[in-house]
Amino acid sequence: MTERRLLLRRLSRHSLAVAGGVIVAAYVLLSMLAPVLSPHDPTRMVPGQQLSGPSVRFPFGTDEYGRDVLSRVIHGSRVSLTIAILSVAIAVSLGTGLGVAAGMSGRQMDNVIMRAMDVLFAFPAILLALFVLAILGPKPQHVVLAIGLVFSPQFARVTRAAVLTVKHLTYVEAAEAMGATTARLLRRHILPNISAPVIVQVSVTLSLAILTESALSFLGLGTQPPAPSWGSMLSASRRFMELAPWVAVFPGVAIAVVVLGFNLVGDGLRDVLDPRLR
Amino acid sequence: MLRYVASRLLALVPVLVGVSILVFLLMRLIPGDAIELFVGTQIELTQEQRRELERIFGMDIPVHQQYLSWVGGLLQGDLGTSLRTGKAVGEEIARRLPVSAELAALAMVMALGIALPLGVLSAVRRGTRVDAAVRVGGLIGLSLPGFWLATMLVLLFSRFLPIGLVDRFVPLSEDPLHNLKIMLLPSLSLAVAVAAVLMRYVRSSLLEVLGQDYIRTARSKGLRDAVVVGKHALKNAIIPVITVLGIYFGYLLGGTVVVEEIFAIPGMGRLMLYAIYQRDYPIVQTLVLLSALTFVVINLMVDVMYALVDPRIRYD
Repeated sequence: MTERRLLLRRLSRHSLAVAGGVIVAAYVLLSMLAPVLSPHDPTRMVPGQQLSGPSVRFPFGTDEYGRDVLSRVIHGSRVSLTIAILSVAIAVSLGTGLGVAAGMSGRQMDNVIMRAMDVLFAFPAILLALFVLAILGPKPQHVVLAIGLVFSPQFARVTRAAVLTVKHLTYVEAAEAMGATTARLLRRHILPNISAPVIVQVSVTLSLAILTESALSFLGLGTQPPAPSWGSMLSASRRFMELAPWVAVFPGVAIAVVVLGFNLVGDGLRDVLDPRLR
Repeated sequence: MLRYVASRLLALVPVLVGVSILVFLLMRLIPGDAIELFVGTQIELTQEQRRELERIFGMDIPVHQQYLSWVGGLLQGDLGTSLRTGKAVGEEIARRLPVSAELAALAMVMALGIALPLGVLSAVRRGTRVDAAVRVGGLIGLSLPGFWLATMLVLLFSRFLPIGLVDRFVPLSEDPLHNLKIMLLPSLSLAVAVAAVLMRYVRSSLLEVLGQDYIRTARSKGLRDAVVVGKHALKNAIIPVITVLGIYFGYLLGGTVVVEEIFAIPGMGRLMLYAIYQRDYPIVQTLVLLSALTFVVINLMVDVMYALVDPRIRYD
């Protein structure tokens, strides 16, 4: 517990990480309170207000159907954050599970698992996601699955490497010699000591997951209209962005800022958790 | 060293076989029939016509035999024929590869041009405001979605600064100057993220080298800072940077689906995207396998180069 408090204190002194944390927290709040904070209904089309520029009534302007861009950007945070968090959860469970299995078991099992991960890793990422969505159909739960699958090999690699390092430390071997079961070894000695690289990877992957989700929506395979998603808003805006730049600008800014938030947190975590870089 | 390379090369085989099986299966799992997409919805095929097309497309044999005949062809240098255009897949790729290669090369040059000076500056001024600004700048560059940056650049240069940077694609061989002009924005939108990553590597790698004893020696000899950093440190700090550069080049060579789509550049990424939409099996399979091959080979080359450049690294 003291260890964790020490890390938290160090993290709280890292001003960039704090800035990132504030950004991420703001987005989480924004997405939870979206219905309260949005000035308009994100799917309501206001007649006669198509593509009108930023004004007091519509601070970010309106889109081609006369929908309020600000409200759509706010609601878009729900889609992006939910998909990013769920897909990273899948990537973490799948990847670390396989990584632990590979690191703890014998050479043969290790080889089979890691070669399978290599196959996924060598497969161009966005294409793998594209394939999964083309096969299963562009539904939010499939986007989650596709992104989770794409990012699991990285977790498997990081976890396996960490397990292999920790496994041969004297205290783990001592515990093993004293007759600790594999389950106990994992729970008490190995998992707590491999969490640092996994946590760093989580924050990096969250930012990549948001970028990937928006790219997939941009290509028309992610979140489907009329649900407000930053990627599909951008994609739709391209047809008339010379007339109405605001429709293209704001969703992109929303993506960039939240991704920056996750990157700042990840950077800070790396500084704090990786003693070699300190 | 030779044994290491040989064993690594051998380890690539199962990975590539895995990728080939995976892409073959995935392609066939996508709903939608290649033949129906080929003929279109207007025409109703008779049983015979359909069988004839299946025969031409090589789809009249069991799936596992289709796979074996594809791989068998590959091993003999036959990449297959595009279902859509009827041209050899090799020919289709040969038309697109130079475009993607040019884009990748330009993006790499730009990324290095941005990352090297800024990374050095950040390392030399470690802990100062300059360092912090460069690092945050790098993180911002990393956070900009490539397709949004591309869209914004198009918007900027078509609406506000119409100096002819946004135009229809012209091959390099036809009009080099015009080609370079229109390739500027797409490569810049790719370069920003790469530069952001490279910069971090330049910084951390240079910082590590600057802490070494021989750097202290060089400094205590009374050499000027510029000489120490430029001549002694940078040369050794550049290795990890080359690694990252190599990996990104391989990645970009495979084509960048989104940026090529936005700028309507006929490269590998667009070829792939449309081949997937049209269920052009041979094209997709070969392209995916090719990009996986590039990826693993570049990774291997990077590891080998590490060993060559730095004799302390040994893999046995």
